[in-house]
Amino acid sequence: MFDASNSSRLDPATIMLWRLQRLIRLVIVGIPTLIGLGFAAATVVRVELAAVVVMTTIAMNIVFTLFWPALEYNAFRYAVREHDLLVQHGVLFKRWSSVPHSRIQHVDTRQGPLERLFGLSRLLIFTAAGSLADASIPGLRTEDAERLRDELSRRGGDDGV
Amino acid sequence: MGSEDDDNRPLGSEPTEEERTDVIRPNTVIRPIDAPDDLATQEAQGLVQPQVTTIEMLAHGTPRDDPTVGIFLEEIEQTVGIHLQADGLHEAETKLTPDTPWRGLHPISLGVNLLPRAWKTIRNMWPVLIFVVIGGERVGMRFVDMLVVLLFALLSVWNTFIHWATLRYRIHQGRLEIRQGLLNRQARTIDPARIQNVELVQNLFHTWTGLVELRIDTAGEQTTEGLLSALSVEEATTLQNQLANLSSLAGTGDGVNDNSEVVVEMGMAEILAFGLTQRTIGTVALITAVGLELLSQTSPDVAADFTVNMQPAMIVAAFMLAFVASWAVSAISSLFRYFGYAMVRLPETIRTTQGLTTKRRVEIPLSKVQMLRIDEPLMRRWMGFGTVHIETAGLSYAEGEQRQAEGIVPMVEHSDLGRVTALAAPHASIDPWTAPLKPAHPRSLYRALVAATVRSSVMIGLGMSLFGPIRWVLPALLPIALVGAWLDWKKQGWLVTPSAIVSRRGFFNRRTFIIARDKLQSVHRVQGPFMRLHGLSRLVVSVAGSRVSLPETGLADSEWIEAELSRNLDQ
Repeated sequence: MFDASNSSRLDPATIMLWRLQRLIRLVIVGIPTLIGLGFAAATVVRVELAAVVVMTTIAMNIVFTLFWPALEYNAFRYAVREHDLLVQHGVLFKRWSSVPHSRIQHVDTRQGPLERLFGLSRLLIFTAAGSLADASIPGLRTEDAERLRDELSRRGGDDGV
Repeated sequence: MGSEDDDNRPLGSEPTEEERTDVIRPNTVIRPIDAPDDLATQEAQGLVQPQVTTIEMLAHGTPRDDPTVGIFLEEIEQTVGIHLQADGLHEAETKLTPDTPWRGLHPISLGVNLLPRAWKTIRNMWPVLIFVVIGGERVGMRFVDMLVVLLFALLSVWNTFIHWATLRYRIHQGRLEIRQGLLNRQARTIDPARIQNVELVQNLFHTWTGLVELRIDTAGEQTTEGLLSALSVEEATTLQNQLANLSSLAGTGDGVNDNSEVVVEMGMAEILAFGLTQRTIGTVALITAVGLELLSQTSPDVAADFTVNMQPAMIVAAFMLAFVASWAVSAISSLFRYFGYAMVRLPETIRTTQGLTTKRRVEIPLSKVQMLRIDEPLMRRWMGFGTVHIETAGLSYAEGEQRQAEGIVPMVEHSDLGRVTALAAPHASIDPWTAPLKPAHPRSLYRALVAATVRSSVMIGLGMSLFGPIRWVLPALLPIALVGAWLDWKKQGWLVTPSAIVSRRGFFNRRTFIIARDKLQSVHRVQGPFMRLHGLSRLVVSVAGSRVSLPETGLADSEWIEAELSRNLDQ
């Protein structure tokens, strides 16, 4: 369904953004949690064993955090077609989403502090289906995201509600 | 409605370049030329009566997004005296229509609502109450718990009072307007054409005092958008007829419903049968657990004795007891809820009426029906019945629980299901009981079997490490789970026709979904690593308020469905 000719990819800087975002999350949440669990486990098993398991898990997490974003980046494709927006994402669990232009209720662009640093934005597409976004495109250059937002939200039609 | 700030610009000021891009926006607010700049602020503070006119109000309640609004322009010019130009509104000379008086709730409504609301709050806090009754040896804790419950009850009484004292409503220029609140003021405007469903509720207090509660649901929030907790029947009828004139809802009163047609009625036997087939193993387990807990609280010795010397016969007896109790409760509650059930088809609306002590009447415009869900649990299916749920976009929480469906037809005979669903969803012309459904992909059976094996192995492992003498019965559950998975797979089916999507799943609790294709919001296809191994994927379609999975299909089928669904998207 997707090939190089009819689909777009995210900005390559997204890989670095994702790495940084996840590393920060790992340092703030993941590693303290793992160390806490290690201390809890040390009361039951031998301290050395708990330390080795915790250290390995942390190391694996760091490696995973560094290489997984590249795979995700490769798996992500989107295309604005005649009648709908098509988004493909997911490395292990793949998901293709088709949102007809006529059913789009509103389109948001969002930007966190790290994304601003990279000059990137996220695009969230909402329909009447629910309170969560029906499709989202992370890692677009801010000007691209804004152009796409305006383009997608301009098309109207019966919203089927 | 936060995005229309720029529309509130007084007409005197020059439109900016950006505002000029639209020829005439339907939601444009027309104000008198000499309106003070802070008129909107004053209105919001309640200092002056709001006098807002919009283009579509003038166009006799034409829906906001209706492109035909253009044809009314001449008429609008005559009515308002606005000179309409291609680049916006200029030189307006507005004649505002006279203000409609606000109406309040019925005076007795305070008395009618106070007790039920307080009771509902207390009832919803039953876990706390259980702790208060059986848990608290320490009197101090019990006192604090009681205080919490009391506090919540008082709070709900206070809210009811505020609701009654401050709620004002009216139909003004084609819209329903509701204002309420003491400290946090709220003003809400509802376009009748956007109403998803209307529910009239009469509990015992309402019946005795001749009042009725009106609930109006739109697709916006997850609450009832328009709650008028007590109107006299006469006021409610007037309001409904006014709304009916402005939308596809049906009016009530003399001579209005001559062309109505009763679709389904339910007798006493059917209501009881519905209750008997409703409860599942889960309820039985819960009742058993609560029973044991009560026993261990009241007489610990007996309970300890009971758990130690548990014989298989006793377990069976306990389960039987729980089953009977569960059935009795279920049958009685179903009797209260569905007594006198009838579903009536009006020209553009479905109306259901039900209830013994609390009477309900739900009205759903046919054009708002998003999806039908037909439940056929095993026992009900064996008795030859199914349950039809009619869903609109008005997903809402009511009385502390999420309402699953806006309309329900509890017991429909199997041979009658096709007729009922055709009446409830005329846009989706399909009868899933006669039309041949396509099966799930053969290879998805392997996945189902593997999943069932893994799931039940974990359960059996857990069970065997926990239970005593009966643990050797547990491995027998594995073949049962496998047979269940096979049956479930065998009964799956899907169908995509030019007007409808059908998905059927489940053996023990069979569910059939019928979705009108003109209501489709988005289409998703998901594929996990194991599905990729087998060349399978699963389609998920979403409509406003719900999301439905189709059975797993092969690559060719998936791509065909996707292409088919995107074929006439913009029509």
